[in-house]
Amino acid sequence: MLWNLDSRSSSPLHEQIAANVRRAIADGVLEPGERLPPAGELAALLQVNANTALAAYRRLRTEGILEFRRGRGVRVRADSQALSSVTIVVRELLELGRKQGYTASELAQLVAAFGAKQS
Amino acid sequence: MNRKAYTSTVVAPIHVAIGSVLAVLVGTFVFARGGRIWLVALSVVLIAVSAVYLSTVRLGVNAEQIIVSQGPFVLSARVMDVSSVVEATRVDVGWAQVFGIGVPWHWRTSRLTVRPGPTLSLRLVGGERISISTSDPGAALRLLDTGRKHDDQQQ
Repeated sequence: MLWNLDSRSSSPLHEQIAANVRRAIADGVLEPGERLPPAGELAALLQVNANTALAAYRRLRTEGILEFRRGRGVRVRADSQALSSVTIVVRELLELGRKQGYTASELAQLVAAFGAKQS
Repeated sequence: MNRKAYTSTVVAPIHVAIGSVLAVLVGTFVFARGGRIWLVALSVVLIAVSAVYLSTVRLGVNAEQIIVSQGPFVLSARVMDVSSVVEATRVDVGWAQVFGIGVPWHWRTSRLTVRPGPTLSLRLVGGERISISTSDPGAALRLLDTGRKHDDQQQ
């Protein structure tokens, strides 16, 4: 997969690394079960601190997109594609909401209200 | 400033499958010949680890360096400078070529091909040739070209 970081962006580097992985999964570039490079190697290639790459991987693990296995490295989880697409949309919604003056909890209430109407 | 990198990890399930079958066969053979249990376990583990090692190829490229490694282990990585690459091309190898059959012989060749299909072929300054299985050789080539153009401009 192709990694792209913009050091002039306001988004932190670890968030940009995580966004690269989310996008690659959503686009089908990364498939479930596929291995990602070790954090140290990725950090060397992207010229960032190893902790930055590790922070990105940890964040994606928390989101349920990646899994760490002892001795087998970092892998994309089987159910990651749906999760990744939803995460991208939620992030975009949060960003748009922030621009329009909504807080995260107000957006959550809106989503819940729409969900209740549809069901 | 944009920082770009390309990474790929190619795993050949056939190597793991062959290794597993071989490990069971050798383990059974050693056991049948009256081998001790530690000897049976050792032979099975050795074959299994070798299969995992031979089944995985990792490639990492940015505008300055290339990281190539066989196996999933971090310590086995080889780091090369982009300026040491004389020629980089994309080739599509067949099953026979994966095992080195039908490939022109050269005294310094490193073959990290684990499956047929897209492969990145590099020729280094010292004459060494390296073939690496990777999912998107085109993306790796674009980054290598960026790095080599940058080197040319500096010179």
